[in-house]
Amino acid sequence: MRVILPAATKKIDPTPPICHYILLACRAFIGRCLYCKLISGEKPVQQQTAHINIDDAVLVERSQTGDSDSLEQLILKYQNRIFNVILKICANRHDAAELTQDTFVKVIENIGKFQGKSGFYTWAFRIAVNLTLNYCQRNARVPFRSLDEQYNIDDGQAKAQLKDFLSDESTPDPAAVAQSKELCQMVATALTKLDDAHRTVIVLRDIEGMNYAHIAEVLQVQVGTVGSRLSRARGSLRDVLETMLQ
Amino acid sequence: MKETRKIEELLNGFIDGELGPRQTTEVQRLLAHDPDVAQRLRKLLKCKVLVSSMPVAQAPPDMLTRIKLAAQNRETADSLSSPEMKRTGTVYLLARKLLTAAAGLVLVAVLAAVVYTILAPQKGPTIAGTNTIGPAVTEAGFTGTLELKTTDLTAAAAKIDEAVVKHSLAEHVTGDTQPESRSYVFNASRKALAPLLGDLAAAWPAVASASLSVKTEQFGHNVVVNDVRPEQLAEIVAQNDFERRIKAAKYFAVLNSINDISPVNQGYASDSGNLSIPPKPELTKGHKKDDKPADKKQEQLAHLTIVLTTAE
Repeated sequence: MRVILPAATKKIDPTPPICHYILLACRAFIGRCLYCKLISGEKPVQQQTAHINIDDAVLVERSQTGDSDSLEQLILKYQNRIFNVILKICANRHDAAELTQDTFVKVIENIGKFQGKSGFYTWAFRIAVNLTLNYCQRNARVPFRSLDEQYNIDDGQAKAQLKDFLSDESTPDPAAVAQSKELCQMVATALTKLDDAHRTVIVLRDIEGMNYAHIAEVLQVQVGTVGSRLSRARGSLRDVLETMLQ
Repeated sequence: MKETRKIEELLNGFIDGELGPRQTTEVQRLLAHDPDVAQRLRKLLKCKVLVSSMPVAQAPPDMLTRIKLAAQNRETADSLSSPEMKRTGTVYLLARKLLTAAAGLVLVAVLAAVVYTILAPQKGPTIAGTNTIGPAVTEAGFTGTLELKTTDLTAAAAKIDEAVVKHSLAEHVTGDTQPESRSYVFNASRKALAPLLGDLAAAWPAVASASLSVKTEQFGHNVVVNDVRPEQLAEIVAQNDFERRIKAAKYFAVLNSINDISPVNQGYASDSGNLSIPPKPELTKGHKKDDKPADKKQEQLAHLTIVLTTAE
């Protein structure tokens, strides 16, 4: 596939065919309908995703016709989210950057073949997760080694914070967690203790905020499998955290 | 256990907002009546909050540039693997494989030749007398050189010349005359040569030393019979096959060397002509009986070179 870069931008026809306007009008109508549903108070994640998908569909279509600006917009839109998910799964900043880059190179290569059966967001995340899981399989020892190194950091204050956070009496305070670097480090370490499948499902749900249906689509499993896997993953994470406190 | 797992899944679905209305009501009822379930829900919720509160990492600022560069490199790599390039590469690979195979075959052939050279059975007669004599040598009959050292070169040469004329062998001999030596090269049938060898005894009084070198089938390996006498020479040539000739030559070589070192036996051996005649070589196991008629045997050629030199 030919990669179109800004320097060699393919000229877009200034007067697109009339069917293009009809298509855009249809999409706008569908988007409006979905927006109305949003207002009426259905599941917020799905509503937000649907809204994003409308925009994505247009950008993807333009990219497929050779508009590199649209392709750039797609990359800029998702690069941080994809990087964040990859980093939380593979636990290595340098490798996460490489994997993000590989993900988008694959996206560029295959955007022409993308048929829109699933959303661009789902498709891109599927590529990213597959690449990352392959990486984790190839470098099975790496995360555990780095985990051991991190695990040796004995931070009494972070442990106390974690203990306090997990105690029955306290109420969960997300802000307190976010402010404590050490606590975040401990959670990241605990995540790397989980096996790849459990870590991935937790990251997609609790960090990326995907609903079960999307996770199922990204991982190409049944929705029920996502539920049971997530349940086991959270149980394991809880066990790991409690072990770290001992 | 299964029940606990199911409740756990329901609680997870509840905090994620993934339950239907009926399941939600069921969970709410459970929470209201079972404090353990309520406690598990709090734990799950804290776990979820803990993970979801982690800071969001930002991609490196140059990510877009890196992606573009990587895509460009990939495109370049793809263009390099065009069908023409692939075809050229395939041909090149095929040629390399063929060359490798040919080199391998040559190497194997060389190795086989080396191994064969080392392990192949050696040709030629052995003491045990296995029938490995080369056909060319067998067909040649007898090939040998008789070196005679004489105190009277002229007299000895005259005796040989006389014998040659007497037995009409002039056509079968070539010679060379030098002031200090004479040489005669006989190429005749053994039958024709036999009487000449008998008459050589006439020249023997003038001979100071005589040695016979009988050629074997091994290149450069001859059996040398020192102090050979005419009747020994005749006996060797008269043997019907090559192997027997070699055996006879070896026998005389040993016998003459014993006579040399044993003065007691020397006289006895020289006096008793019969002792010098070797017993007929016996057929050993593995030998085929020679069915060729005697006349045909006599037709085998004898190549005898007589070198006559002056004794110092």
